[in-house]
Amino acid sequence: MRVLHLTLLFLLLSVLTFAQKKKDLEKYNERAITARTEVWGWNIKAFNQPDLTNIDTKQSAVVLAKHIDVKVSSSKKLKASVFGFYVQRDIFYATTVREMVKINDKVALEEYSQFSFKKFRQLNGFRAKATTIIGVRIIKADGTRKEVKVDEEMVTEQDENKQQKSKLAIPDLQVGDIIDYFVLVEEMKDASGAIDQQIFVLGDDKPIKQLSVHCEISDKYSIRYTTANGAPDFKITKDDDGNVFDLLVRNIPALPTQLWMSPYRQVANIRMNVNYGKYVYGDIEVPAGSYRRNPLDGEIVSGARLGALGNYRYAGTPGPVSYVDGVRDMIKTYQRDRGSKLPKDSIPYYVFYAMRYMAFFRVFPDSKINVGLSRNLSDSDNRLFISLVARTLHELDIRSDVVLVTNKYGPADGELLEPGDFEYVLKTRTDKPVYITSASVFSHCNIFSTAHEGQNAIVTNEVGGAQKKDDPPFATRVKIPFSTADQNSHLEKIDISLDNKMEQLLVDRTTTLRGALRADGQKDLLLFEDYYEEERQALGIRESFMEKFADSRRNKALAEEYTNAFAQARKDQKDAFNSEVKSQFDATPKELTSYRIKNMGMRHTNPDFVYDTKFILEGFLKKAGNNYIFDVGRLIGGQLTIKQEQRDRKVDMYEPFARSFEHDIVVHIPAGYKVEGAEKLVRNVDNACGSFIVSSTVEGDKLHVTVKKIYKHAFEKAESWASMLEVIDAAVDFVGQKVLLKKA
Amino acid sequence: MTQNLKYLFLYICLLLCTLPASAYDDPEKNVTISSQEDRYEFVYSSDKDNPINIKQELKTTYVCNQFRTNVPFAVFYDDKSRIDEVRVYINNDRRKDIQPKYANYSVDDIFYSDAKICGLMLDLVKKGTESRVELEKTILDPRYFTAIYFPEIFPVTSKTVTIVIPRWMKAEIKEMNFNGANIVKKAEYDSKHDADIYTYTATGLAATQKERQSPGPSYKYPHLLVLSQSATAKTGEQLKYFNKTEDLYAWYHSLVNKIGDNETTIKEKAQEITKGLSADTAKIMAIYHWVQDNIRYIAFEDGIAGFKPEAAQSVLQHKYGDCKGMANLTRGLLKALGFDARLCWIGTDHIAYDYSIPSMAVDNHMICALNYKGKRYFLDATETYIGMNQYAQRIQGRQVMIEDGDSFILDRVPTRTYTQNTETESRTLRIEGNALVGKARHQWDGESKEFMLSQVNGIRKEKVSDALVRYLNETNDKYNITNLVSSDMETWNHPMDINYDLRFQGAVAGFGDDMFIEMDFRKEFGSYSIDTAKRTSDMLFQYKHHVKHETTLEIPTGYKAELPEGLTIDRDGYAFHISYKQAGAKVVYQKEIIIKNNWLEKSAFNQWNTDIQALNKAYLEQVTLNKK
Repeated sequence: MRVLHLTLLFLLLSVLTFAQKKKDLEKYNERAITARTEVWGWNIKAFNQPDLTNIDTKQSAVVLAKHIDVKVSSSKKLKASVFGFYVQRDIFYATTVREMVKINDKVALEEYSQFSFKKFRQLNGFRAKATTIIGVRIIKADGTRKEVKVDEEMVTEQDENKQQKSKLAIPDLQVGDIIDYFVLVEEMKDASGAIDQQIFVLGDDKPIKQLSVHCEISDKYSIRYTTANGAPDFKITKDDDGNVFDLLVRNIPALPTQLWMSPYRQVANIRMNVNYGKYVYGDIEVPAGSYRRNPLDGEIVSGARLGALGNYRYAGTPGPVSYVDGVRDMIKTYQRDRGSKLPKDSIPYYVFYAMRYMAFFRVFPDSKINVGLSRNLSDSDNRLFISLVARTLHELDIRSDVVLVTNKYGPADGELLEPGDFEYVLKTRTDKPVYITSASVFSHCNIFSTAHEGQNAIVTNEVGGAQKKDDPPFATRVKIPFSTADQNSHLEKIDISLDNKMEQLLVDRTTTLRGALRADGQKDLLLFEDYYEEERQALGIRESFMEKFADSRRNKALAEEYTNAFAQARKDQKDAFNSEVKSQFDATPKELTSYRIKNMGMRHTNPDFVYDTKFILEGFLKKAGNNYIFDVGRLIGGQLTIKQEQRDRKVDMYEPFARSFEHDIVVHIPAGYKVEGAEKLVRNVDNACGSFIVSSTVEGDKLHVTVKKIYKHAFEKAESWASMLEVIDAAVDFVGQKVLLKKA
Repeated sequence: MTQNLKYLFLYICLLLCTLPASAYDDPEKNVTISSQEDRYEFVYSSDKDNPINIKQELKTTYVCNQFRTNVPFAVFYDDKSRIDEVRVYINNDRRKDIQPKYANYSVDDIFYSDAKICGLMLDLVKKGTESRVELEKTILDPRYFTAIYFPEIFPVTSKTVTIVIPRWMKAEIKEMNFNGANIVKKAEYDSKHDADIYTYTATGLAATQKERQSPGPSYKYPHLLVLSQSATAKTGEQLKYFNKTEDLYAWYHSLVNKIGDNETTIKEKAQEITKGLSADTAKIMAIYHWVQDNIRYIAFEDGIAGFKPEAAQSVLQHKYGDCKGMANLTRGLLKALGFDARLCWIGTDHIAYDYSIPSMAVDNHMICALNYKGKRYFLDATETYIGMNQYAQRIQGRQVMIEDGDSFILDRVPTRTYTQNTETESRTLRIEGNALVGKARHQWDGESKEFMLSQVNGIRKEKVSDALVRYLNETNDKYNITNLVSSDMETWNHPMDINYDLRFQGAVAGFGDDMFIEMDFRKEFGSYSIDTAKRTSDMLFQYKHHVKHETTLEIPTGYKAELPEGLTIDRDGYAFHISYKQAGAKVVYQKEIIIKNNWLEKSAFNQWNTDIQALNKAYLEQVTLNKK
């Protein structure tokens, strides 16, 4: 059950209130009765005579039948609704999802035993509201059917928004039963309101014996839809009111593993958009009463171009434009103080970092004091961010173009439905183009998001304008390159000596995080106080906010408060480092003796995040008579393991990005001992997917082990799974490796 | 039941889980409550159903010590209380724009309750400034006015609790956990109002702490129990509350009398469940097992329904119920077969009191008692996987109030020793290459069995065969388990038994002529050291553990074994024993871990940590096999 959990912060969000009247409730109850009669009366054989043959009892639950019914408007068809009165003027739509599920175990019983819903919901917009009606029946093992008296069984609570929330615990539901339930949502909005996108996913984490869809959409509406990943097309007919879309699929197996999946690109689905009246945007025009199947990418692009231009214009309006002005002032001061102009090819970089400063680092006297690690998680609207950068660059005489790129975890080219399927990247129209993408506290300039790698992106010129004589040649396509395993690397340099009692590892370690592996580490460990100051100086901002506050009579006290808050954050940083060691070594350090950030890696010019830690680990040395077994393999930390049921994989792998992990370990062998078994550590797995290579040597009193694990690509075909397993398994196996410290 | 206490607990949970959101904010130092005045007065009310109310006035002043922030302020109320007014002052300026939000309070494990929350975020605008919240609340029925706690989630510099008891009201105040707390009491008589006024002034109260596996708040924090005994109403009528435990029982019993069980339906079900069984004990066990297995536990706490069990036929029809409904159904089914089954009220070990205190704060749970052949058994069907005559730690030794018509019986649930929960593992292994190969057998009983079954049943069925394996191999794929045979996992009135073949790949480290073997795979309690710098309360183990292990390893021909020393630690509350010995051509490794007492006091933490360190050290010892 998805119960809304109440937190105080949530509680305090300002909200609309919606007190439903008694009359509404009466109407609701009447509607619920007719709705149940309608839905239970559906003439669908899979519900009426469920197929109970070949039930896979190894599955927690099996969906015997699922039907989604969508109705959009038509006063004729919707007379029965609670909102009947308004239908003439307003958008109305109703979605019913009915599912009949065979419960095979207690886990599924738990999943289906409680429902939580809101009978009434207030939506954004004038007169916009929604009702939810549910119906539940249970079919016992002996075939008897029982309808749950929903109204009698449910309890109602008031949530923080003063909206009523109903909860229903399903009575008399047991393992072996079949639950047959539906949820009907009816919504009314005015004609300008958007209708939620319908996504029909042909798959679930349980097998589905039959899935059907039926949509009746009045001719007052226009429809666009996209079939993806081999989803079959609708059968489309016409009735006296509009178009009717039907779909029937049988025997869909349970969805595969969660690891390295991109569901939009791997699971068959149909996305459908419905609009009131004619739909026109960009080059797409769908008249009311008509539909458009699988629109061409070019048509979607035309809409996205308009969107890019709209964002760009918005960035120039009062409010947003203050960011542009702010950056322009910063650059002026910077140049004045340096006594020279910035070279033109450096300007995009300065502007990017200045805009990042404006968005994430600036502090005002009335800002909430937030200087702890949680600040590092701040995010902003990427489209607005790049539009602000584009506008600033334009004022500095550098034009730039918006590049439209799909996210590899979203819909693919050829399966696009709407402009929002694209994300925006900015490309400067300079000899060496500079790409500007994700806006977050630690993002670098001229780095692509790894979610865009490998995508064939489209360059638009709405923002940049027509090609000029001196402009570099305009390419309409740009293939976003894949980053390499070398670029996205995690390096550990580990120096280990043993204590006199041969119980503890005294570890002196330097960690370097690069590329796409960098930002997570920075988020976990860096302090605002430190990176604020570094960036302020780099941008040539004359006075820090602390200095400003200290100099101001009004805000003097604030500087002291910030000093206190900084001190608190610095205390919390030690806990963060402790956790970092723990997660890397899968062992809680006995003591963290020191930690230090060597390089914050805030910019592409100095991109590595580097830090030192010194700490003590226990439990790695095992006593065997006079000798010791050293769990040297454990020093590479916990490794990805593949569960038994995941080992059989038939779907492609959407990995985050190519990446490498390297451990360079030196162990100082204590006097009086010699190492045995170092040669057994050597590994040499190297295939097309990745590699796991270990070298191990003993030189004098030092054991030197290097371990390198590489995932070579961001994407692998399913056929490569065996090779991938070879690398993964080799690393898991290595974790168990040991050497002997033998008393000489 | 005992809602006030539970609210306090929830209140603490709620507030603490919102705080980490602002990780920079150390509430211990940055925000303190400089003063809190909490005043209660018994008053007459014109409400016929609730002629006596308690008016609460709470004034809390927060001070910002280091840097500006905001803090949550929340109070709970329910069907038996209401919030009359909340006033917010920032730097002494009344802020009418800051209004609290009111909503139902939902928590994970309670499906529905009448608990509601009234809360707001209070700004502390600057270092050194104060913000204040003033609350007026009415408790409608003195029965529900049970406890007043002193500490808050922030340190409190000074707090006064004032209770005004007019002489027409008979109430007793009990001071709980005052030892070590700096609290001064003053009693006065207000002749004008003919009332006694009790004022408690506490200074330097530490903030409450939320810690895992710790005793309930009634053990830890100073608080007052208010026992409302009787009153003379405005009309002159004598109102009885809880003067004695008899009164508490009488009230509970009056609610039970209103349940309205349908005996015919229940009897039919009881006969169906026990069809074909002739022995009494078989019937009893079948009923208990049926309720455990077929009734889902869903918690309801709703006004009077929070105290009155749901009718047995209703629970039967719904196939779900709370503890009261499940206890009543168990009783109904047993009674229908002619057994002497009774309802019992009980406070679990989360609560520090017993029935010597006549208050609803004493209990929070219901179970069923069965008198059979001169013996008394307690049946708690909310413990899904526990066997007959076995008891969960949380009810062991707890006082129960057993219904007995118009009177009641006080008894205690028997205490069980660790032997109820014995889990054994025995392995017979030999060496093959770098693997240990052989057979293993496990047996679980009591709470270890309950724990194992709830773990395995909590994993999706598509992996059920894997679920058990993963439980056993602790997700280490090198610990390869095959040919697993288990005793019937659908019933739990017997120890659970599992046998399998084992191949532990890579378990033998061979270097030159020597082989090194770690005899222990599980290393129970190895990670149980306690952070004494942070932990403020005693530590409670879920139950009294008893782990017994034996591994027998064949010594390969041509090798001789060098064995580590063992370990023997025997304290009052726990014992660790590890031994190695050679028996012919075999090495026998034995381990026994006993948690004799599930309650580990803070004073024992240092010794415990030392002993855990020794245990860990022993776990790191290897058996060496040298070539002769």
